[in-house]
Parts: sequence; structure tokens; C-alpha cells
Amino acid sequence: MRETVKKITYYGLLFAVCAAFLYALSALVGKKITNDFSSPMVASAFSILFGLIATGSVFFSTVSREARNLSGRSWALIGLSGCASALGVSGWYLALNVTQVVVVAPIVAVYPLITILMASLFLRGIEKVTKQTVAGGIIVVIGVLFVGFGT
Amino acid sequence: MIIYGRKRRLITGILLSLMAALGFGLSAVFIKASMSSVSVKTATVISLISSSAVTMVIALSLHYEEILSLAPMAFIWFLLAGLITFLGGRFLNFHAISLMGASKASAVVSSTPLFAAILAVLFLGETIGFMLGAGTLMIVVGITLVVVQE
Repeated sequence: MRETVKKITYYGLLFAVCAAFLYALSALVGKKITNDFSSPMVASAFSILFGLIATGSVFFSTVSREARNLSGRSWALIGLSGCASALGVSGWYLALNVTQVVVVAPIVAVYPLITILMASLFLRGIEKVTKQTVAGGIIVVIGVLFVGFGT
Repeated sequence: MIIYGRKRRLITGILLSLMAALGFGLSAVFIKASMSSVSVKTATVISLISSSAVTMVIALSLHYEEILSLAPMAFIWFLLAGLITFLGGRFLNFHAISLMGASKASAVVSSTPLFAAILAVLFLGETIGFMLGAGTLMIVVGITLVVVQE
């Protein structure tokens, strides 16, 4: 049982690290796009649209089977997640339009701590937020700020 | 007057940054709450539908003229960005959230600037300074604390 939990956590870690790497790679592509073709907001909107078309095509059979049986609550939660991340991206770009990155980056960097706080408030029965997770999250955020100001 | 304008822009910038942090932070929590009844594939696609609707409305309302004059080549790059960020990044991020939980996965995924710095060192010839070195060490220690728990 303990081995299974460990295995699941390490697979999760692997997926999370790969996601972080892909987001970094996408920042490089985004830099090329905003230098040569469009503003960040337009680039973001079209990248999401093309991402939707690609993801929808690849996962079409699973999505069409599951979507019909999905409860209203699930639709609402997933829809809210998409809206929240869209507001995140839009807020980030709009903030950079009105003020400097030295103001925006440190504020946005604290988002894992917001996730930890919200998870401890709203996901009580689903996941456990330990003191160690909070400490780790704070150290990661400080590290991200160091990396941000160091580059 | 100029100072008042600057102050207003700063406050607007801070509020928008807080909105961004709150948006990124809440997204993972909503997804985790829905995971018991839906697969990662379906969650990724449905979340992209609402993300696309919101960002398209904002982009069209603020940059309509620019959208009409986009170069055809731009769409190839948009597609590449969409594949990397969403078919790759968001799908794996949601997988991580379903396996580790929203709080742990967010802490790990937030290390993105570290990977961006590594890519910049490898491909753009940037050097590793004290801040980058210390930040890297802290991120590794933080992630270890988050992941290795009894």
C-alpha cells in the first residue's frame, strides 16, 4: 500500500517536472511569437484555441464518451478551472502592459501558496495539506524569485 | 498629475497581478475538486474550451485590428505554442494534480522559471550567477520537502 502511494507520488512528480519544462519551452516559443508576430494577449488567445483544437482531436473519443455522462457540478468545476487559468494569463499580460515586470513577477510567483491555502480551505476531504508542504511551497516561491531576479 | 497617473498604473498593475496569481492558484484547486468523476483527458479539453472563450473575448475586445492583420506564419507558431503548452504542459499538469494533489503539484510546476533559466543558459549563452545558483538550490530543497513526506 505504502509502495503504491510512493509510486503514484513519484509519477506525479515526473509529470509535474515535465509540465514545468514544457511551460518553460513554451515561454521561449512565446518570446519568438511576441518579438516577431503579435502582442502577448493575442498570442495567448490563439495558442489556447489551437491547443484546444489539437487536444480535442487527439482525445476526441474519450471526451465524447465521458462528456455525455458528466454531472453539472463537474462541468462547472472544470469550466471554472479553465476560466481561472485564462484570467491568470490575461491578468499577467495586462499587468505587464501597465507596470514593470519587477512588480508583476513577484506577486504572480506566489500562486502556489494561494493553491495551498485554497486547497486547505476547500479540498479538506480530498487532499491533506501538511506543514511540510507549506514550508516546501514557501521555499520554492523564494527560489523562483531568486531565479527570476538572477536572469 | 503625472505622479497620480503613475500611482494609478502601479495600483492597477498590482491588482491585475493579484488577479493572475489568484487565477493560477484557483485553477488547480477547481480541477482537483472535479477529478473524482472525470478523466484527465476530458478535464484538459473542457478546461481549454472555457479558457479559449475568456481569452478570445479579451483579445478581440482589446486587439481586434491586430488580429485582422496577423501574418499567416504567425498561425504556425500559435499551433506550436498550443501543442507544447496545452497538449503537453496542461495535460501533464492535470495528471500531476490528479496523482499528487493540487498543492504539491502547483509547488513543483511553479519551478518553470528554473527550466527557462536552464534553457537560456544552454541555448542563449546566459551565465549562472549567484542568484540563479541559490534559487536553483532552494527550488530543489523546496520540491524535495513537498514530495518526500511520510
